[in-house]
Amino acid sequence: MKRRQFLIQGLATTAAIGTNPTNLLAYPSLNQNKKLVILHTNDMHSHIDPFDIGRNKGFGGMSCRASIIKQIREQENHVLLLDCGDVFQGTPYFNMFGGELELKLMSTMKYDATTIGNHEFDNGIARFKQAMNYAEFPYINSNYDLSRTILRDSVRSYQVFKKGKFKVGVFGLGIRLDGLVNASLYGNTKYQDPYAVAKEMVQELKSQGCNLIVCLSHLGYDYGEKEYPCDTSLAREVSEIDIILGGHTHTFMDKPQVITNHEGYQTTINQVGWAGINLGRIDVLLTKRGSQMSANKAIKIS
Amino acid sequence: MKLLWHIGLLLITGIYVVSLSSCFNPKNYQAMYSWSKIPIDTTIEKSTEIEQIIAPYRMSLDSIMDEVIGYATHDLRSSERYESALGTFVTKLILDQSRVTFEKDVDIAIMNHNGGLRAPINKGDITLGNIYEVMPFENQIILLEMTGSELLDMIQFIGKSGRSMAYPVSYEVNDDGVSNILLSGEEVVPEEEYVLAVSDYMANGGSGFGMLKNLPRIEVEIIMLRDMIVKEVKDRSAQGLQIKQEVINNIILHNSEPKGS
Repeated sequence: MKRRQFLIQGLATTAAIGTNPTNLLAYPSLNQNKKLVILHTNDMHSHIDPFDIGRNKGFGGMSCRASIIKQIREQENHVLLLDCGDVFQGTPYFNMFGGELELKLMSTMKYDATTIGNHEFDNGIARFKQAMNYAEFPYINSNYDLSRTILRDSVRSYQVFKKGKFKVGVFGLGIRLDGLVNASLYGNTKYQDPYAVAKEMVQELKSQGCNLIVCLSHLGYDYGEKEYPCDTSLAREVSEIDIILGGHTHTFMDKPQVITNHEGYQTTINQVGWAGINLGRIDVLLTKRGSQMSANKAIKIS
Repeated sequence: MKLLWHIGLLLITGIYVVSLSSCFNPKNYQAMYSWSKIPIDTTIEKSTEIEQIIAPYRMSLDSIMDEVIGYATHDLRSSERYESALGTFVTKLILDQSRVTFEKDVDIAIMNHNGGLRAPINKGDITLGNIYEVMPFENQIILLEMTGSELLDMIQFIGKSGRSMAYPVSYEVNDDGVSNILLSGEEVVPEEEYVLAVSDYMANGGSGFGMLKNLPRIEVEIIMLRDMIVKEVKDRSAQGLQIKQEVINNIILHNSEPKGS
């Protein structure tokens, strides 16, 4: 516990650096195998093209996002590109083509995984499965029991990615569908308690030797006094999830939130609004524990 | 270079350290995290690869959006305050269609004017694309239960702001508030229950409608408001009817504000 307190102090120091970009120091002789760049999106809602109306005019667009991602891939050895669901619904592209184009473009950008948002069921489970044919990346969800649906073999409960020194275990959590999605659309999909499932997943991924555990969540960021499972409550309830990438609530977070739970475990939560207006980026750099120097150095970005 | 500049300038960055929950054997490591939020906007170069994939879909979509689904005999605008032709047309169709679809006695429908209805329906052919311009949002219509007194409070708010339509409601606006509120020509009974058809956006408290947030929702099928408008136009065309809707003049203004804006 002592060690953790030290690290939280480190957090406070470095947070101060973060607010003042002029203090950013180049990290010398970076060992690329110890650096992982996680890029993430959520709730893109079929926004293929940039907004041409309203307060988000000029923002978003999958073409420009692809350029940025390509640029980052040219600079970095180890990139994970992840999405947190609700790829579907929101523009006529979805109404007319059922999600085919969204998934084709995500495949071209080489997304590593997505999870199931409630809107993925908007055309019914059969058409969801059909659209999945265009996804050259896995759908990861751990808490929907799909064993009695046609998605039985189409969704993975977790996936392990090896990236340099990182063995990243990725699992996914979806929101309760009852009352949110017309039952006829999601069929025999059974929602299971996210906390219990997350605990199982952490155990499984640890046993496989994962050293970084990432949850793709479509639970929503935080519901205040309402006790629905959400990203903040998940971080408090379940230890050893390193990063929760969120969605559903379309939350534009100014910066990631770090939650330290009752067992002293720290979880980083982030969510980047919706419609592809932002691309989130989290760089994880491994440094030797206890090396004070490293805590005060920063990664130079781009 | 433009791209590099963009990344460099617009990144919102931060750095912090957390301990990795697991150990890297044989040595212990901690993880240093840094983060940034990269805004995506049109100053970034487009990817030709992506554009090539989108192109045929965009063309095909454009041709679908050009489909003519009806005809308007005059311009239906939403830019007026208090009452508008388009506002009346839309609130009336929300009311009519939700009564049929949900099989409920729906009493009232409300809709924002130009905050919600983003473009006019102009005289002449109406395309599917026009309706997407009128209602670009993925708003669903849901039903809320409210008491008569809650309904009256809501009409007070609407009457004071003038930015929304309520149908079929009439009232008078004075400098110090709203009076003589009638629903379908009858007085609202404070103790009675009423059913409101409204977009999920407003039901969630959008545009100052916080008073709707905690009202009980009647669980219903998901119906998109845009689909309702398209259905109305298509149904009328199928019956050989054109789209026309005059302002009913249900609202009498005694205050100093001009009615149009």
